Amino acid sequence: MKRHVLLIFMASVLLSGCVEKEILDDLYLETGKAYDYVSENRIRGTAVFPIYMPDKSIENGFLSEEASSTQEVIEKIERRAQQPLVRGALDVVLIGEKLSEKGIIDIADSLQRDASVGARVFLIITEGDASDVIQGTYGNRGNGIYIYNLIEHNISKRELPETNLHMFLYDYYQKGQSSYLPIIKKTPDNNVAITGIALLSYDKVVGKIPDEDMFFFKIMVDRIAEGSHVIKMGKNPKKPEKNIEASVTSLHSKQKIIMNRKADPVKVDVEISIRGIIKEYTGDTLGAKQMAEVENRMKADIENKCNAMVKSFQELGIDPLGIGQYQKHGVRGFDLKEWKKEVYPKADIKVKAKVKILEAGTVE
Amino acid sequence: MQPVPENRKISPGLVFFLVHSIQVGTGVLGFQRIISMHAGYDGWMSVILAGMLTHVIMFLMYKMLGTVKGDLVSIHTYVFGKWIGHFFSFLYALYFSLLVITIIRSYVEVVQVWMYPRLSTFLFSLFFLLLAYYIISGGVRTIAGVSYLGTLLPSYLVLTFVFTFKYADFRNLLPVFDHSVMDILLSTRDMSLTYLGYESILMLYPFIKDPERSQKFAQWGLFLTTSIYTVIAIISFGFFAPAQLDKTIWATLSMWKIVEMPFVERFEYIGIANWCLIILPNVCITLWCASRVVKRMTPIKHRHTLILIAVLCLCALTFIDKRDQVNVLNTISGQTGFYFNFLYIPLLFVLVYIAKKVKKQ
Repeated sequence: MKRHVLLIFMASVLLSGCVEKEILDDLYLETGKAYDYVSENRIRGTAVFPIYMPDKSIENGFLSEEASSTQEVIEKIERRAQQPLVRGALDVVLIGEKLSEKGIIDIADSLQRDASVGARVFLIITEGDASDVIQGTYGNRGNGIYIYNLIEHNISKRELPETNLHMFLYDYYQKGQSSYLPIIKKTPDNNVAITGIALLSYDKVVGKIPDEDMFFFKIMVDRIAEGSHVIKMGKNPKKPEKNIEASVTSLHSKQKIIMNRKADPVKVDVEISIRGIIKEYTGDTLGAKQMAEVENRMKADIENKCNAMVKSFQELGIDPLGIGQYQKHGVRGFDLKEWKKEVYPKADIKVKAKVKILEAGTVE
Repeated sequence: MQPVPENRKISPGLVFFLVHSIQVGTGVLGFQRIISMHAGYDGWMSVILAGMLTHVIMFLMYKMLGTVKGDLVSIHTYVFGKWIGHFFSFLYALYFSLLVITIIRSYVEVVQVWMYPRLSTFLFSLFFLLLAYYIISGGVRTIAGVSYLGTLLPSYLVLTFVFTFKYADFRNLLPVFDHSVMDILLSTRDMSLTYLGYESILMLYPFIKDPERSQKFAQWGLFLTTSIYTVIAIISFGFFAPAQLDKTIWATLSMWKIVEMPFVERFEYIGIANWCLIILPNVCITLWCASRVVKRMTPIKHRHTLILIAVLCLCALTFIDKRDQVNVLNTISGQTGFYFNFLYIPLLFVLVYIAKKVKKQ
């Protein structure tokens, strides 16, 4: 018996030494990465990692290299890094405008293949060069985390639709669904701002939703969405020089797609129902009548904008709503090619909205 | 065969844990891709079908064992006589050893790909087999205890799949029956490989107190496995787009990539480390079975056959070092298992039945 105990003890001691150790202080934890197009078959990769200073502040470290694949970029960067770079804490991957038009699946694939990279990484398209966006000084916790937080809170509380590496790949591989990614840019005062949503056909960016329309896009694609929208109510009848505006924050929104698959052309109803509260109203009084009007205006706004958006998706041949997917669910032996070429562009898609204002704040 | 002393037998209830823990192994980490190859997202039906098949096979095995009142070696001698019977038993010894190799190698591969690329297969296998040897030398009771812990302790892992619900879209399963019956049957065959291992009951039978009564527990063990596999299959089908799943070798592990907890950045590492506990009873039971078959056939002591087989497995393990080799190994042991379980056992059942009739006359 004693001999066995000794054996187990030895085993644990010996086993603990048989793989390489990674001590956090002796590593560069890569938090962000930027990829840019240089020429055909050549990309520029920039890694950002926080360097912890003795006075507890954090500085950004940058390393940039050109190569033909993401792994080669990493190899080359590694040759210049004082400490080993690890990707385990990677939060954001920025992709430059030009590269995003050429196709980004190679980058997404290498991220997916790497066991040390999580599925919650944000893929982001940048206006201009990605390396330019990532090389700034934002916040006090390092650039990677700064951009991650920026995107994160805009997803959970504002108008950015939910996105991450897994969702991008899911949409990319799913039949009858197109993916979309957030777009950011560097502002002149050395900050980062979200400027819209990039629409992709497979892995190439083909269109853009500007930031003021993101709300409408989000309520169409997300299952549960928050966000806010300002409604122009027209001129104030008493004071003609002043416009009345109402700002509605959506607390809860649901989207339902109802298909008539047999009809020719295929008939699709996208039903959006929103329950929100009024956060701001610049008119004089806000009673039941005005609230009803706000509801109607907002309904009209949503229907106009969303229908126009859907039209443009059909023209671009992309399907961020995943209507093709809905079609597939009801059809055995779904033919994607025929759907994309013949059926989808002609489909009769109508967006209908239901708006319900629940509260109007603490004053009437 | 000399009877097993009462103090080395296990209570019938523990059979539940033995059967369940040996079934759940490295297969669960990536069976989704394999079943969707033929039947696509109708694969969940294959999971249930294959699960139902295991119930039938288990019933047949208990019937045979009840007839001969012994283990697999007794069945073989009963049907074929000593020499031919021993030949077939020997094949089973090889098969169980193959399972030991497959289980350990697949797990080492997971650790190498996901955590430590430089982990030495030899060293890990050596210490793992030493641990298994230590447990097995405690007898079937200790093995049953390890199975019990190996089922209970990692069972919390089921809860982590809740994190994936947010991203799962179960409409992916629609339309149901998008594939032909043939495709579903082919994928049932592929799925039956993940269920392997419960045939170890053929060797464990004499070690169960009141063995007739234990069938109920064995069947419940199978039922639990089937339910878990079905749930995991459905969740994975919701989580991955079909073309995406085709590319994912370890779908279960890849799903953990989305888990978000305040105290751990990446959950797979905890999951993989925990999987070690799930693998341990697998290795112990199969290694025990292999050595037990050899022990029953030859006059060698059980301890010695155990060491012999462990050393042989270790040697074989060090020769396999590439992904495609591991793949081939998995395919080979899966297919042998399929033929040994789902074709040979019903056949053997018929033979036992005939032999019984003949002997009565």
